[in-house]
Amino acid sequence: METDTQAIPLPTARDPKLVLEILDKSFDYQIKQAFDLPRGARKAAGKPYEALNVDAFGEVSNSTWFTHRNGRAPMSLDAIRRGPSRMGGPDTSGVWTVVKGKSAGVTPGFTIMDAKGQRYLIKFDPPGYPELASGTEAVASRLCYAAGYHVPEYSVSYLRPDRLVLSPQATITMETGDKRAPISKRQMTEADLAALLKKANPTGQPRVRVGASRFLDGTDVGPWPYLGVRMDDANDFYSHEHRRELRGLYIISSWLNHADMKEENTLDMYDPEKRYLTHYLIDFGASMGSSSTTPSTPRRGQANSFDAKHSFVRLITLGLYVYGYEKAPLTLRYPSVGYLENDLFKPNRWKPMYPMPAFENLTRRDAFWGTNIVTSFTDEQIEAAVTTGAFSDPQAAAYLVKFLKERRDRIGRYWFARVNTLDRFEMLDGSTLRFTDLAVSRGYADARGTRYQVEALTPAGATLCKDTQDETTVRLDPAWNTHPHVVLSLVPQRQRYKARPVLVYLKPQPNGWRVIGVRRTD
Amino acid sequence: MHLSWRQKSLLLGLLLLGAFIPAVWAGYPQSEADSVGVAINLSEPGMIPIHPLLLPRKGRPVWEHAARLPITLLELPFKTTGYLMRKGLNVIEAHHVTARVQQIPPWLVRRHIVVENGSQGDGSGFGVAVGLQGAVGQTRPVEIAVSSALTLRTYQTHALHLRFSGIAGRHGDITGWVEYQARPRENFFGTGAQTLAQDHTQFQQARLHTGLALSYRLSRLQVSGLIDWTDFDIDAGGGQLYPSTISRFPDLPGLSGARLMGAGFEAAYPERLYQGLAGSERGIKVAVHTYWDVDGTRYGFNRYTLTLYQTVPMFWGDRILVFRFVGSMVDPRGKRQIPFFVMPRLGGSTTLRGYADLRFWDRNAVLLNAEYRYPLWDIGWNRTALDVIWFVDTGMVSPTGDGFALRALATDYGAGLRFRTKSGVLARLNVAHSPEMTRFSVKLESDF
Repeated sequence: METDTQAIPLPTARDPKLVLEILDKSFDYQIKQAFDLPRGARKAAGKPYEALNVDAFGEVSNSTWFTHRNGRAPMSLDAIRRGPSRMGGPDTSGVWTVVKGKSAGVTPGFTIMDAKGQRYLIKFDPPGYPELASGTEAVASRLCYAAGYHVPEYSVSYLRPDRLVLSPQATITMETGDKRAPISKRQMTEADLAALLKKANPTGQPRVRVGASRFLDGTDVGPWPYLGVRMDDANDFYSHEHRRELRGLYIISSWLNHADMKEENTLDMYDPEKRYLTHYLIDFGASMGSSSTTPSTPRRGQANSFDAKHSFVRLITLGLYVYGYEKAPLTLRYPSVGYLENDLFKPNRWKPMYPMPAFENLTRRDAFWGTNIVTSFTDEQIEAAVTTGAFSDPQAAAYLVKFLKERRDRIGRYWFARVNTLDRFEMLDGSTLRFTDLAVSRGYADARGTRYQVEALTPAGATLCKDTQDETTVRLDPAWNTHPHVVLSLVPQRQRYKARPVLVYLKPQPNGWRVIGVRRTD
Repeated sequence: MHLSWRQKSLLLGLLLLGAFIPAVWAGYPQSEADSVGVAINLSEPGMIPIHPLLLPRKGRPVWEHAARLPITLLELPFKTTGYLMRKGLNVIEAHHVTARVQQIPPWLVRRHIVVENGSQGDGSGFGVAVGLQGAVGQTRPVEIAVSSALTLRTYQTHALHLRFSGIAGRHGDITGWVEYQARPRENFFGTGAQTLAQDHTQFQQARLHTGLALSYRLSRLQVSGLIDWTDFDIDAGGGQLYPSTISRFPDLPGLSGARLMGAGFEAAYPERLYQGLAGSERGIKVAVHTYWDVDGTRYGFNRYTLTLYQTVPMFWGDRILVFRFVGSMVDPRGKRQIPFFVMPRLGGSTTLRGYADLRFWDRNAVLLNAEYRYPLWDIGWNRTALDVIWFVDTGMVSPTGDGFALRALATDYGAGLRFRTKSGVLARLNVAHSPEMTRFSVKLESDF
């Protein structure tokens, strides 16, 4: 059990600069990785650095980073729809008090306090693309939450301009037009509020759709770093690039096309009472078909912003090699869900906008872990999540559901064809081991065409028995309990599929056998 | 012992491998558990496994530091850049430039300091121009730009530009300018296509140029008329390496300088082939100017310039072939002369990039540039990209219109990089080769 809730003093707030992060991850880190010969040698030998924070069963514990949800036990449709929400969005029955405004940027926004005293960040959809950012953020955040990550509450809400009240202490950040000092901050006036509303609601609608995200409880201490640990957090003892839930996040991000994976889109919140940090993923406006202020493009998810490999290929081919994303037409079938495509999507080639070290350390075991979560979502659960986007056009919502289902299945088919898909080992009655073939149970392989090679080994490696069977249960011979433990080597056999064994460690107990460890050899 | 290059490569490879094997070995503690990644302590089931990376490391030996030296060296520039950005550059921006901007009176709207290309033209070397741009007035502001530039070779330019927009609706502008240039080392090799590189001479030129232009935009068509006045002062070259033009070519017209009055008409019809792709224009530009001598009747000539440029898409997207043709001609009026310094000239970073600056001079000149551009680094934001360029330039000068001959064309070729955004080209870096030389140039402005 990972115990990362010990009381710690308030850490210093981090404020990393995006430019430096891009330079660091795109160049400095890449060069270091290229010259890290131990890492390269292990990768070439098929023995890459594996994740650190796994237990004897290859799993991560519930922690301030991750909580097992749909991947372990199916969530109800209501729970999927509810997501992390405790308040159900801002209270629209009373007035909203504006405490902070933002007129800089493409889309204006402000911070309000609702009648229940909860603070929300209100963001408007980009001009010309109603419902795009607000709907996308609501759906993607719920799926990410159901996958197990900590995310804030995002919801679609409706603003009534006549119920907005300006707080006397309200401030506003504005564009100055001066390139040297582009942003200024001052007290907000009624005229500012009117101008901001006119920008967001030029036609003067009495009810405006917005995206609302509730401010997280606790003290904001900035984003968590992608490399290493947070030195002022004594609970943070696994390097982040070697955490399984962050490596496995690659699979979830590729599913949601959540490419805007910069440090700024993470957040550590300090609980002043319990005195520890909780680690969040924030800002899902640039995922699926949205790029926050515009629809997504074919390039998103296909290449890093600074993609050295693609540049090298172009250089040596004199530009004759044209990547698929360069040729793909930017067709928008439904502007409210943005640009969605799966034809270019290859589950192992998906790329975030900026390199993320944890993603670059992804191993097959991490991929299996993430694929298990992504494929755990049923069609009904995906449909339930999409309803939270409140898309006014049912066809647009159906199109988004189709996109998510197709991408989920592509991920499942790809990764489950490359790893040992056996999981969920449990003793039925002390003498029979049952396992689940995830590829079969989730519809990516045919049960009739699948057999299982079972080999029992002594601790010294001598074979006790070897067989190939159709069943997903193994009867353990009572005579084996003369050994301190035995190892079952299990390999599924299918056409055009080759996997390495998963080793299940079993220890004899007075009342039968007990599973004491699982080791994957992928 | 003589070793072939294959043997040398093999030996070098083995040496490198031999040097890094200990580093690979030391990178990880070797254990049975390490072979499958996670060690399971079977005697205590349920315990968190001890991962090799969590085991305490021994002190790193000297040879491992040596093995990692390439990484340390390679990351040094990035670390330095990061340090400067954190510690230095922000301070300068916040306390120096911004503070100066704040002192400007409030009636001067849209004010900002600009740092521009300091190059004063072909061959002036590295330099920087600092200017102030702003606008006076609120409803119909007059835009003002003042700048000064100095290069390492002491070329200097001081310029004041005023632009009054909004004449005849929103389509007309009146622009006035005063510009002073001092150029102490201008090249001259004689006139004609057959001049020798060994005949390299230099002269000094100071020029005060002022004028007024009225321009009008109608859709893509832009027309303008202008009048200008230029005072040329010519003297012996300021360099020590080359002889003075005045002593080497004593009979050249215009060696004593000239004051010229001019009037002209220009028309241009540009069109961008791809929205957002800077440098993908095609179009035509025509310019006709006439000049006469302010001090007498010695000089008088007309100048005609035709520029055609075309972009051809290749393969896909941002891969384009770009052509530019420029034809220039100066034609004397009657028996009047043409000062040598106003003749068309070729050579330098905007014309024949593999030749010396102002390498060829004569009354007529033709030039053809061809470039193949494709993105090397498509940043994927705001159409920003770093392009690779492969180019060929060819051209020649001639005393008469029928004196052009294919065999006399001067040709160069080269490659370069080009950084562009949606709005334009920010910088270019070219390496060009010709039979006479190989040249490297950096330009902080648009193509050609």
